[in-house]
Amino acid sequence: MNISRKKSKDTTTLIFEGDLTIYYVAHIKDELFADYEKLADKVALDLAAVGEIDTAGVQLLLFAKKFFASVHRPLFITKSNESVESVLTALDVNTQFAMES
Amino acid sequence: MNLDGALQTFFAEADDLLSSMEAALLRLDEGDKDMETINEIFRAAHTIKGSAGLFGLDDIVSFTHIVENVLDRARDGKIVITSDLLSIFLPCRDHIAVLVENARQEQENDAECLAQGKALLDSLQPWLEAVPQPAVASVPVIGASPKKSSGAEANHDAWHISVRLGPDLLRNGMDPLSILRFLRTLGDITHITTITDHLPEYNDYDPEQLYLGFEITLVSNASQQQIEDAFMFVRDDSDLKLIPPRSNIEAYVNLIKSLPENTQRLGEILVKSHAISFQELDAALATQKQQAKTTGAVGMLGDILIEEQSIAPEIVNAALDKQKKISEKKTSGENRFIRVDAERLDVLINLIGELVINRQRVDLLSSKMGNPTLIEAVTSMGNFTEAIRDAALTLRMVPIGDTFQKFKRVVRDTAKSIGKEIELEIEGAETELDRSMVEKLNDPLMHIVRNAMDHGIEAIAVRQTRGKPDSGTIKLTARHDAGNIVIGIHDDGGGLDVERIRKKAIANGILEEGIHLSRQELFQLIFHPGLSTAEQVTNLSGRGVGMDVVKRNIEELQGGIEIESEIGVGTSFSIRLPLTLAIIDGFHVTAGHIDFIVPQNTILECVDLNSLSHVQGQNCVNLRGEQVPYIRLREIFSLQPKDHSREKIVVVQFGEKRAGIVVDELHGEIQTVVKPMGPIFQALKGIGGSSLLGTGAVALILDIQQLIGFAINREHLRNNAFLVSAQEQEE
Repeated sequence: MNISRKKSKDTTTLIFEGDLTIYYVAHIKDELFADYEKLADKVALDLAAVGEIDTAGVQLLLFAKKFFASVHRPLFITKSNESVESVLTALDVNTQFAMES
Repeated sequence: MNLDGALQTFFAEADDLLSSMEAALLRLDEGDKDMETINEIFRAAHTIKGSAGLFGLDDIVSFTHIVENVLDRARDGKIVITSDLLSIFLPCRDHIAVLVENARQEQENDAECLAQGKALLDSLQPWLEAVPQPAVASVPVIGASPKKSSGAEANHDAWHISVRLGPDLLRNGMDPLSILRFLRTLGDITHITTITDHLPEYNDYDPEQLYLGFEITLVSNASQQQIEDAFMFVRDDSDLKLIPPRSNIEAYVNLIKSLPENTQRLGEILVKSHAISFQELDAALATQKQQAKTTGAVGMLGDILIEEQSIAPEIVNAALDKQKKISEKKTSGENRFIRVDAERLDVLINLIGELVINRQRVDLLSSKMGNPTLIEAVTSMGNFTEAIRDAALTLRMVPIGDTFQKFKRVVRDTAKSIGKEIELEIEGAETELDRSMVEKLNDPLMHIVRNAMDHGIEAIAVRQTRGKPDSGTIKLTARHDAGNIVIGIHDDGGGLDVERIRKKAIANGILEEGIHLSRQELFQLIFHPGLSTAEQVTNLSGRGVGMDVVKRNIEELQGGIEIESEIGVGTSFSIRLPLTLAIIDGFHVTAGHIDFIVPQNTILECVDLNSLSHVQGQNCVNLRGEQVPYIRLREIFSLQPKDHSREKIVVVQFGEKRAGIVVDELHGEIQTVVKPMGPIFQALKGIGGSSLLGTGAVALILDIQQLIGFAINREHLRNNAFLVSAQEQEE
């Protein structure tokens, strides 16, 4: 699992590569929130390259949403893939990551 | 979790709840018809019962349970709260307080106490009788609602599954997604909400632990057993609730009440429990918006739903209740109150006291060394020390309102027992003063208020003949005034009869005949031990004990009390107290070789004694046309005079009275940490305490009130003696 950061104007995009599952969530947590102050005002998630995602992964995303909200940074998903989308929809949390208009 | 700590929290909370319960009961007594007031009482009882249950305080639970039942019926409008019922509720509250207190003292509730509780419960019986009414029968089943829209019906064929899974589920290799997948094989999940409320703060978040919960709507023909089987492997440490299709309202009500979450909006709660459909919610929201547009007022969502008959009132009430609790929790969270042991606070204040003393020492040393950079640093540190001191002192400040509030009950009960109508008005409840003073103020206030009720406010018949309203008024006020707090107790009663006080004082040998006293001095005689002007001794007051104690208590707090009264109109007591006794701004002076501190807030001005013109033959100076009596500290404390000192006079004021204090040297402002005098010196007049100076020397803090009284009295005596000797010479 790898997260790379890409900054453009007011948005930092976090690009996930690999599985978002219970086996990696602890590691992902450390990487995801490291130096979060350096992130731009908005945080975008690019999940297109995510392989497998399970409840622990979804929970981490929900937690990230909550955490970034607490530091006044909106979080949303800009890109994802079918497997991610289906899991988020199955738990009816996909709307929570919609880009704010 | 530290159970003992939790128990202490319970006691502290119970105290708060009991006092808000009392306040609410008294509001009802005053004619408050607000449903919210009854709710408040109910919630207080309910919370106490619930928490007491956690700690196994069964006596509290069983007693409060009955009280709560009656309250619940009142809340549902099944019974009306009459004054009869109120006069049982108040003692019931007191009984709960006794039970809580016993639990705190770890005392068994003795037979007498239990008998008392039993008697109270028996007297509640008439309001309880009809309770075992089957709730289910009285609530209509949702489907039976007349205006049910057709779209809603499908929902009632659905199971509602409410599940909070065990925290270790993920770690044990289980994935809730697989459970959902299994459920899908049984039927159609038409709606699911993932509950994220339990996600913790960053530091507490363990990504491998499960914090999520789910509310699921499953349209299925499966049996309860089949659905439960889906959760077979996770059931042990999970919380699973199932509501079968077409359940009655009660099931939803129970679910709403049992959900642990706290951020759901009412609408969501309703939709989640499928008491209503989305369409109904949307329609209701639209109506609400429409109403807001047309009337400008936002109607309660719950009201609208009831109006549209889409939902039974019971469900809305349960949801509203919950929402209210949530918003209460929210506000209390935002206020961020912390309960701190008062002792810890005192330790902090003492330490800051030491800091202030040390700072003075550093001040002194730095100015001796004369290093400008050091002096600058010390000065800025001094500013912070002062700020810390002020901030620390405000920690101990509490509004006086709570103390005043207690009197509502006292006035109500007493007025009833003596057959008078008395209202208590409160003004300036937010005025703050030191917590330690509040406690000591209770007794004197109580005494004055009782006196006012007993002797001040006249009987109804008398009031009528005097053209006053039947109901007498006692007013408690508080305000800040130049470093002091002034507490007033006013009544619109008969007033004090100065002549009767004089006669009584003469008869009791307190006052000699022929001595002229001012009005205020005559009033002050009522504080003399053994003087009571009340013709009738009642069990409340009138035995002539007490008023002297009142005055002594107030003086112990470095305060003073003044009386103003007019016959037939009423009496006012004003108690003037310093805001705090711990640390004061002082003014450092010396007389002889002794250091003294004059509390800064009493000082009017400092003048060279020789620059003022003296009144012939008296210890009095003429200060811009006003005669001010003075005393020499050197003289009254028998101190050795200092050579070549030009005497200075410090003019001080307490209340309305002024006097001058003659000293040898003025040194300037100083922060003074007040240390009370040891028991041996407590009888010493004119000294209120001691303090350490930066040099390590002890300075005595002057009791300005006593010194002023002394100076005025002495001039008075001198004048009398002067008159007497003049008379003798004439003869």
